[in-house]
Amino acid sequence: MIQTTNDPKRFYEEEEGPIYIYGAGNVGRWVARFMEKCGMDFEAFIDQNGAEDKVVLGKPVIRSNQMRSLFGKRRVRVVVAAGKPERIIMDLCYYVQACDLLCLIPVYMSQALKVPVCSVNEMLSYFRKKLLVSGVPTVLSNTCLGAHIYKALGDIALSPTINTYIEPEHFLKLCKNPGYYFSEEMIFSHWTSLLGVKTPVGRVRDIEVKFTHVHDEVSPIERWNKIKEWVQPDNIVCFMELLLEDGTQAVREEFCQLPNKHLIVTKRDLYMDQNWKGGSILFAPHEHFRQWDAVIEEWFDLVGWLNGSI
Amino acid sequence: MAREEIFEKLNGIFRMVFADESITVYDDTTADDIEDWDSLEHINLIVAIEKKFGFKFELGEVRKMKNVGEMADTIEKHIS
Repeated sequence: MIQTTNDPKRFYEEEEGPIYIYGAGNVGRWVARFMEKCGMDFEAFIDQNGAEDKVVLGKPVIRSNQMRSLFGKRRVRVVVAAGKPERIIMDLCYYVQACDLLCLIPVYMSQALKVPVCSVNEMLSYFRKKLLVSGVPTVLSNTCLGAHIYKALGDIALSPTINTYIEPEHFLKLCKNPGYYFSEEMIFSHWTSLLGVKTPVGRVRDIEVKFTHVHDEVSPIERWNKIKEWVQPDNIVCFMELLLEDGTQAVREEFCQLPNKHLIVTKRDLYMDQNWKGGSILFAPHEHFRQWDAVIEEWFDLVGWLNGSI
Repeated sequence: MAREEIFEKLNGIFRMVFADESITVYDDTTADDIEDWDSLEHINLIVAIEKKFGFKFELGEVRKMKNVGEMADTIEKHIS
């Protein structure tokens, strides 16, 4: 019998049986690296291109058609490690239908699309969260980037700035003095147009916040005022995303001097001639954070950065 | 307050937040079971529950709740 789950906690912590990683490619190797970092072990990789003498990251790579004889009647756990897992699931159904198998599959419901999607990053979020030294921080971001960071860390997006757009000048003020701004209730200010969409704007002290993906002026303000109660003053990270050539150089330089952990995210071609004077900067297009089938760590060591080791 | 009563109130809150009179929640109901239950509506739910039951959730509690049963457990803890 083959059972599936998309819950890594259940798969790794509550179930029993030797673990195999199906897929010795990029995703499989990241699963293996994360398991090692978390002190977990697995038996071997399984791959259509496996061979007797093939070894990846110190583990044998077994051919798919050997699974039935290898697994026998034991309870076995298999991580389906691929950005497009359909073929692997078909392989498992074909080769090991009689075995007692629990498969971890990277298939999750997309809140935005309302359909199941494959997300290897969501599957790996279990490890990232486990590896965070100070737990999941409060992520302040001036764009929807923050929501992607929370998703990558496997946590509910509990930050007032989720689903907002904040001009860099205003966002800098918020990041410089979050306690000052979160101690005051936000009020509705006015409606504006953001990329052609009617958008409510909230005001708190001298900063304005544009609320995206909403159609009323009451609920976003209420949410901000609720979530600000849960901001962790000692564990804040700030992501300023520069999508256009916005934010003056003075703002960017001041942001780079923040005492809180901070990162500017932008496309390389927008600011490649700038001198960033030692601040943290990540050159990555916004789309990178939304990719479901590519592992974030391919281009950004998120946990390493949050833990302060880089 | 009995658990049945908590669920009765929770059903009212869910129906109001999601504007859907057909919703009935159970211990094992999760965000996957209710189409519009995303991170935004989750906070709206929290706000509505706090108002209805008269207490405030802590950050750790909001993070831990994985289904409506755990939500009811947390409510029970606060109001008992």
